[in-house]
Amino acid sequence: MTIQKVGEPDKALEAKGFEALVRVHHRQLLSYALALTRRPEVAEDLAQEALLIAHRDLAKFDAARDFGAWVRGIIRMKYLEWTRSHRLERMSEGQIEQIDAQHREWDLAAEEGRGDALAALRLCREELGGHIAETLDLFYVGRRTCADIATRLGTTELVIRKRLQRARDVLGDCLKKRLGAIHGA
Amino acid sequence: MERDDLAIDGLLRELARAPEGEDHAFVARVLARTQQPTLPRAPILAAAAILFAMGVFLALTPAAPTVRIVAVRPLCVADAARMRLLMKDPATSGLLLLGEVPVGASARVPAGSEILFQAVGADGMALWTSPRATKVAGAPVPLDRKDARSVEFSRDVKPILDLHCSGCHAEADLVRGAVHPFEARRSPLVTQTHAPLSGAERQQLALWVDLGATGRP
Repeated sequence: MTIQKVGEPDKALEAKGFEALVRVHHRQLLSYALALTRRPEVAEDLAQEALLIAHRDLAKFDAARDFGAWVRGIIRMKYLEWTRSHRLERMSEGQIEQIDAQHREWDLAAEEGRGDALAALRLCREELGGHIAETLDLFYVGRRTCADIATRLGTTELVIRKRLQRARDVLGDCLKKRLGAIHGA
Repeated sequence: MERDDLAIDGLLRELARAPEGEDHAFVARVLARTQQPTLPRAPILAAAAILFAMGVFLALTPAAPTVRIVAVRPLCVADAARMRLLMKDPATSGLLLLGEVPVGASARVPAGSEILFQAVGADGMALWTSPRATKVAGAPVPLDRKDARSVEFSRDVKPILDLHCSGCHAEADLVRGAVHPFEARRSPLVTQTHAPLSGAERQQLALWVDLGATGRP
């Protein structure tokens, strides 16, 4: 039997460091989990579980690597477990990879001081007006279905879907401008 | 939804979920859960895995003068530093300590004996004790007493209490209220005593309690 001696880490320092990492990364991680699950409650659970695993395995984490990318990998694994256990259709590998790639770019933008994606999106969102802003609020904040929004605004579900698509396109372009040319490349 | 939209959709959902910026409640929940002790489950799983492996092995082993136990290395051994092998003393029904082995190591126990296992933490106190004895296959062989150790109250514990405690406490009161047999780490006699016990004396008291605290007044 092999006995491995491990140096005693400074627990207090480790806790402070982990807390700082959680504070910096939690919203991006929740965004990632939300992109996968689209359900806030599930996304919170997955992100929380992933962070607890990260905390448990912190000693194994290579500080030269990106903490956000590491935890995203755990969230991804948890997401696959969740879809399996609930017999849900999961996103394709390509779709997940696309989300990963986008988050890597946002991480890079933050690292290079070009801005934070969420803060930039908030500013972009404030620039929107009219039907698009109203539809976005009803869908994302009010968590209403497209059919419900269509009834409420006196239009069709298809129009609402197109309007949401248009809103995301506009916001995507705005993010690219605010975070620099590398975004979305 | 287009592929490029998926990540933006996630951002929009996050913005709607927590519009005020940092989600203090979420952070607090995560940090609170990192503070929760997760220790008890690991040694229980470790001990249970080893016990199961041992039980299966013993059940399949033909009669032999001694039986070799091969413990498996369980996945969770975070706090079970080693396993303690205990044997029921055929003469007194008390427990004898056959030895301690690292988790995953091998040990030999006498054929025909009834043995129990204890997962032991790094502090030398039991984390978990198997709830019942396992009968080792084979015809019983006489126990060589030098291979087993007993801890007796009158011989091993009373002198410590006489030296450190009896000046202020009645021995019977001290032992009756402050000892939980097989659970040294829950026994105030071991964990909360204000007497200046040496490390060896404290270990002796802990071992006596973990072996069932027999012979107490």
